Amino acid sequence: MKGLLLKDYYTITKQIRIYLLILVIFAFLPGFPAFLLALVYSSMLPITVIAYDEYSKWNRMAEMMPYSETELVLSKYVLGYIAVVLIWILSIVVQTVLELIAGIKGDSLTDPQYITLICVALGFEAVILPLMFKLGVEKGRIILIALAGGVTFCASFFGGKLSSIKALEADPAGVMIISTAAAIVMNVLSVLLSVHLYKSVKK
Amino acid sequence: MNAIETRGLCKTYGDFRLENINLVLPSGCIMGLVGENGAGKSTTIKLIMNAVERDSGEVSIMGTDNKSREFKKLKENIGVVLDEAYFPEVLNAVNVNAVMKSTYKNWNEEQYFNYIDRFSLPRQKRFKDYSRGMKMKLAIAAALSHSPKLLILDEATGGLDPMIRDEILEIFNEFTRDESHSVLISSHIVSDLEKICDYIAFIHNGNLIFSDEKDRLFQKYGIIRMSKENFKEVPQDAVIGKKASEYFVEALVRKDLMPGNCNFERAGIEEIILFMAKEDR
Repeated sequence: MKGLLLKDYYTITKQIRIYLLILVIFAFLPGFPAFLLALVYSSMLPITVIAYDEYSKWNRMAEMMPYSETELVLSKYVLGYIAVVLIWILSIVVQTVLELIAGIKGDSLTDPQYITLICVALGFEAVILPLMFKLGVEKGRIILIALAGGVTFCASFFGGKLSSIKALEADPAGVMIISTAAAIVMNVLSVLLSVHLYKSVKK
Repeated sequence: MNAIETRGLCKTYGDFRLENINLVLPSGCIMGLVGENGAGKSTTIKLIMNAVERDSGEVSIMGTDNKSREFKKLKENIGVVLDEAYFPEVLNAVNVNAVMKSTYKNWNEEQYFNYIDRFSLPRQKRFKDYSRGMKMKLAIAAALSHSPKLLILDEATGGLDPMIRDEILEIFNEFTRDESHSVLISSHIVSDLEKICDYIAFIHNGNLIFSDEKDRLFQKYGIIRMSKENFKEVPQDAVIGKKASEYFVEALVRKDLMPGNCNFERAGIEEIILFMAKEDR
């Protein structure tokens, strides 16, 4: 799978540079939730790679190589996980540097609320990737936008009343444990579903 | 041991049906797969590589069922070049080396860069800026650089100019100097196949018309040219296909079914498949 990840890295090198630049710029803007933005961007990186793969028809070639369908699918998930974890580590580094140099102190990114956010990003990835494998990036993105719009709409109406939001404020550690478990279960199921969808589309 | 063996291979795609494909490519030989566009050559290659699900039949590569778990490992020994080189556009030859090095256990970096230099491919130029010939050369360099025992080439020389084609065919010839190496090559360019192949398989409308040794085909078939009157004397079961003008008939015939005193012209592979593909027998 290392070869697949390396190929993905070369494919999106340009995007990663822009991504890091945006992250650093926003990290210097006080009050801006750079971490959230970075997480969303990170979980979208696999979609960008799938779009490039579709354009170049890379999978036709990859299927001739010593890779299983599971590896071809799983590599996209792993790329997303790496991006999310890297951005978390990078955000902690940027925050520490800012604190040391400029004395700007923000929330600790190891707090349960932030771990919960990471789990939400991973859950988001678990939802969108099967869509991309089934529908392709063009159609998948339309569904994704519709989903995002629906979630935003619901959040703006019911956000304050949701028990989970209240629970997050009251018991952040408990919510973190539940969201971690949910993210793991969602991703395991999502990988299995994506492999099945990939095989059914391919055959 | 046979490099490739397929038995009763079938696949249906909508209206198209690939039916009962039986191929045997002995180790150390080159087999040419010929047929018109949409005949089923690429589908056959995908089925051989298990890149699409077969409806029925069996495929064995170097003695391994292509649906078994071992087949993934066996792919280390198979170099494949498709009709296009499907590398992502932003990669260059150096990036391709890094990706392949992490993909194939037997990757030979030195050999790969030897091919890159031999093909005069710029190392840092991005794939999207390569010409079609350069792209195919890169794909061929990658396919040859992990010590494959079997090369599978799907229209790999299509669209290339004759000079590049000749150069690439010479490389395939070099490859088969090792007796354990085999090649399955599909192409529209029958003259290329005639030059390098030991076996020829002809697929027409999803059916395997023949799969035989090239020299045996030359022995088996001949071309006769004669007047329409004289043609009436020819045993009709010997006639494989014919082209008739107002006065003359040109026909591909089975030599063994013709009278002993008959004169034949040599039938090349192109003539054989053209006559066989013609409907008006």
